[in-house]
Amino acid sequence: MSKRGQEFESKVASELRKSGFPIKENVRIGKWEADLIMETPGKGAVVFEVKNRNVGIPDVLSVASMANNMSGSFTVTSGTILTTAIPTEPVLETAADNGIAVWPIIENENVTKTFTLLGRISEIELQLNRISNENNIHEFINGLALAKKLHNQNIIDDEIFSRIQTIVDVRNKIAHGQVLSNDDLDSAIDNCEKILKKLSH
Amino acid sequence: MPYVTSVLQVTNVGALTSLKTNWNDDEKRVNAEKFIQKFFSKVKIPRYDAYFLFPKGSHICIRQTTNNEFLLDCYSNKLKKCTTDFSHALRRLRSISPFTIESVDFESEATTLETALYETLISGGALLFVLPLLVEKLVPVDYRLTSYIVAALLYIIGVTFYSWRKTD
Repeated sequence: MSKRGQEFESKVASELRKSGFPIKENVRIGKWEADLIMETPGKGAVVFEVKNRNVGIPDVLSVASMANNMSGSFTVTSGTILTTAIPTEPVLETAADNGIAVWPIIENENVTKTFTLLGRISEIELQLNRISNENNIHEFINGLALAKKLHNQNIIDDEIFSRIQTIVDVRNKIAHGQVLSNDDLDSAIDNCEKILKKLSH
Repeated sequence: MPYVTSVLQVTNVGALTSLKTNWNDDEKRVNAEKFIQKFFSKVKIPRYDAYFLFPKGSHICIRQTTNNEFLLDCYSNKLKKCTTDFSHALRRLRSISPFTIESVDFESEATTLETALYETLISGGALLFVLPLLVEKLVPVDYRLTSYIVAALLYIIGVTFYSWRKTD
């Protein structure tokens, strides 16, 4: 990895730690090496791949493979790619098909809050998968199907469902490179915390 | 598995898109998907518009993303083959339609134990093993042969382990 790539990776790790998430660096998973891993309570884990450049379809496939390979050691797993470039549509499409989130990290004064939101959304994803009793990260990202299914089964109520819809909208905006205002980020983080609080009950 | 991924901005779209009529080759698609699935297990492989098998054995997969943009992904089991085939593909496409390359990225998976051992042997480890044997033939001293062999083996194991664990 280039020096700039390493600097970006360390920056991401420190921002996520600053937001209170436990992060491990350079973890080997099968034949791949994950840049960062965030472990959540109840044996959940998120693989983070940090790219100081454009993301290609093969990058998405390797993160999906890593998240899948980890499912033996963790109850629920998920994968996220953090990039400095705006991802192309085919990359976002492949990511959605494989349950992988792609977050362009754009330098601005709210970058720490963006990382807090990222960590909280990952926690919600893992929590929804745990509730549904299946490690199916695809559906939450791809058209809210998992949240819809849980809502239809009355496992999650109307309030949580509408909050999740708002969160997915926010994430889609970020994925397409939109920079959110301080207030929007605050309200999204607050939304996430309320969802997590309700889901853990 | 090493791979190259790129975004091409094409100026003469017509020439390249007219080639698309010949792009739908199911046999090539199935072979490429099987090859990719071998390395990226348990994932949904995206559909590309075109699949080409190049002379060194790489699979070049192309997808038109917008009117004048194409995405090229090259999958291979060796980085050298991948880069050779990729430049070959670019040359061939350039002869059909002039284009500018917006970005190219190289990536490869972590080194396997076999690759690390191979790299160690060709980068001098084998020589370290063979030289003491030759020296011992000229100057015979008790235990020296054993110690040289042990040292050489330790060297090979150490360097192999180091290059196996090192980050790409």
